[in-house]
Amino acid sequence: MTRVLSAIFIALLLAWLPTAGRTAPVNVIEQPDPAANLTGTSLVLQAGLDRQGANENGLAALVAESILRTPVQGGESLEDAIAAQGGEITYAVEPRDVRFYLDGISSNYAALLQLFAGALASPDFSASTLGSARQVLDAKIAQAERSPLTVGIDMLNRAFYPDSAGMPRYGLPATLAVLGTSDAQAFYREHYRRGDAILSAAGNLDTVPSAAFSAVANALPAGKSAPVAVATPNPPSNTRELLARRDISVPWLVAQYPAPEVDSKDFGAMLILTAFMQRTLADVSEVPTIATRSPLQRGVGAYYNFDARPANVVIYVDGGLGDPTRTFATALTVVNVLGHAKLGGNLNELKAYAAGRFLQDTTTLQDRAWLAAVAASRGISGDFVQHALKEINGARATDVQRVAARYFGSPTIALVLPRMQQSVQTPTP
Amino acid sequence: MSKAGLRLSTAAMCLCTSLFAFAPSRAAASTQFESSGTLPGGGTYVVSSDPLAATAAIELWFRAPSAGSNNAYPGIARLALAALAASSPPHGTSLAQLVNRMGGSLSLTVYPDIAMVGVSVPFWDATQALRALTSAYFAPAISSEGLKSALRDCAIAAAQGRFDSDRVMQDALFSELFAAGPAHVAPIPDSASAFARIPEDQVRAFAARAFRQGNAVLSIAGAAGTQLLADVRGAAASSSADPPYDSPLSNAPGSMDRSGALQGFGLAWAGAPISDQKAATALDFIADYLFDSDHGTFAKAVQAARPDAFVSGQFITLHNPGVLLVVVSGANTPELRAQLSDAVAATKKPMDEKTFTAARSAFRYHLLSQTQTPMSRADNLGWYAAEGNAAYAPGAGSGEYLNAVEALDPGYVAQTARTYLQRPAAVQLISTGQKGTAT
Repeated sequence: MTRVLSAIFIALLLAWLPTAGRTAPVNVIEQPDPAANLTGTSLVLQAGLDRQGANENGLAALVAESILRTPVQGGESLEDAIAAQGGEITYAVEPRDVRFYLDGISSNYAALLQLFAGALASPDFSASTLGSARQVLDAKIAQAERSPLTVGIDMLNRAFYPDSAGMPRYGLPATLAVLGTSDAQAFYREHYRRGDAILSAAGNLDTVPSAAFSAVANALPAGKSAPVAVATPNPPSNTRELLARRDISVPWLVAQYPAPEVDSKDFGAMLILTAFMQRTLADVSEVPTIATRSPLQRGVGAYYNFDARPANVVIYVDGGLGDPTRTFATALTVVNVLGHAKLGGNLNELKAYAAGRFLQDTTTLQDRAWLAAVAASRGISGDFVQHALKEINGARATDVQRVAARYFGSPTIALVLPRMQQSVQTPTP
Repeated sequence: MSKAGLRLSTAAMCLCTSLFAFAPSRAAASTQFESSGTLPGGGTYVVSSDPLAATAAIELWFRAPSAGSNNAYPGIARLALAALAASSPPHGTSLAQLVNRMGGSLSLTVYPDIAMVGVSVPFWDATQALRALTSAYFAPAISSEGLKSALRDCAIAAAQGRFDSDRVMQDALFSELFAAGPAHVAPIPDSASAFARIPEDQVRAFAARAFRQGNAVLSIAGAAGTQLLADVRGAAASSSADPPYDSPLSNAPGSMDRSGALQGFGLAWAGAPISDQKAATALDFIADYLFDSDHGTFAKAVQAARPDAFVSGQFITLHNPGVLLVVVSGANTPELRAQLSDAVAATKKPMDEKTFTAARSAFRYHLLSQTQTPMSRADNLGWYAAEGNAAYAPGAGSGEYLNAVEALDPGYVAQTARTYLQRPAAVQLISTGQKGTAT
């Protein structure tokens, strides 16, 4: 009887955990959820910012945007054709990869995958498609320029990455303007490869034929994307304080720290520390509110880019809440004390808080598909959410202390100031 | 750290430790199910269980006029909701503190005719969160400290609201569209002094009356099943639910100017009641097709022409009548107003079949996408139950909403537009030059 139960236990466990691949050699991960009305697929390609050459600032985004605008059915763009059939396709250009996400009604999902596969196999990089893609990207760049947080992160990434990975996400209008059909074709040819693609699907997979997922990746040429060797010039000095001025009303402070990778033994401790920083910053700077603020409403925040390579932590403070440097300096002091003094009390409350915050960000199919792709990219098997909870749970006080001391020592700081602001004294931790 | 905190933490981490043991049993029940009924001590519940979810959303919805009886105390519902969330029981922890420790989120939301308090927590904390939530609201005891915190919290909400141009316009449109009743008054006043003027005894009396168990809809979605209902902490059996708080319409809705952080304009029409599912769905379809911020045809056209402008619009399904509303923040030109007028006029003629089919597919997808998380499902189930038609909630197991979407056709949509989109209330927002948000 025990054996039978064990077999059932194992069978059920296997049924629920993400499973790899109905087809080799494409890396396909599936998280079936038969009760879901939707299905979502994240396609991760090694065609991010770091694949851009020195004169190709914005090319990764231009290629991705052009794929969404590729005519697929009666002249309709992929994006519109998918919307008309009950779905949505989006993309995100990241320092080390580009991620497409296709979401749609399960009953019609196979047709959506087919449309996507068609556009991936024969993307349109004609002048007219590139022109309309450029327009969209120019608008995104303008929007990013109005966001102090994005301006700060772009500056920090420029200093953080030694290669093209630190280029701005959408390029610059001037660089986009000179990129043409041959550039897009060459980038696609070199980096849109199935050999290092990851395809992660979540939701109701029962209605989707086995071949439909792999057909998406198989639409791409075989082989792997080759790294591009580009050394970007460092900022004019070795300063760890960067400054920009924009048409904003209050100053913002954005700081960046290196952080442990997702497969590091320090991962759980850093999840705890980031949650602790988030809470400390809020306690220091904000008038406490009873209802939980959404990330958009918060004037301060800390988040852990564990999917980035190298991983990093970003902390931000909106000067609308008072002098941002004072808030930041206080939070840094707290973390420094944490790193250098013996921790008293019980870590469990912090762990519970960190675990809860982590789960709040795992509720959509897109979250689940993305997290599974992150896990697969690092060779972590099984459910990534369980992995993260286990790592949080396993962290000891000494781990948290060590990680605080090791990583939270010397941030790079970006100050984004209103154009007329004279000066803001940067903090000395 | 308090003793209570230590106990909570230990319990949470015990559950965390056993997560792996839970995985198979969660897999065993891998289908969602929905259940609804009446709670033993009064009030109703609806549970939409998803064993694969990692979080549980637990919400209490109440029929309650936001400004109290006869609109005597604008903001009283928000103040009472916040005060109870911040009040600690003797030697205990307030709901707000508890949810924060769990790493969860706490929502307090007021509309003219209904109020909601909800939490989203890890599945291992669902039982404790439900107990705390129902204890706090079904046996309301507002402490002095809780009331002080709530006044501070409401003052922040009031200040933030002044800079939220969408909200300023929506409140103004409701005020213009409705002659009296709860919908005539902003659910959150725009000044802290309005909250400070509400007498303490009135807040307590309001909480005791509005938040009684018999007037509640308990909405649960995600990683929780009906077994959780055994942990509802109710008071003695209470009276039945209040009837819906409808508001009378203005005979001739007009237009008004308001000052705000940004310039903008908006229109609102009285629409179908929640009981007329087909017409309400048609109006929701029109709102999605034209005004959805990301996908609506009017919204996209405005965004392309004026990147500094932002469109948001929706059909707000209310007991009677519903309201179709659109606001444009960041710009207000004759061209944009004409563009809106043309877009609305076009809906009064049947769409061609291809455009309609595509728009309906997109609408269906948006509905399913917007009800995929535990919190969004609990929101919909609770809202529609409180407004008087629980089975019609998007995402409900009955599938009534999706059936109504399937039943739409171009002729009926145009006819519904002709019936309801006649005389809108209008508002113009005049910029005061202060920085605001067009989000």
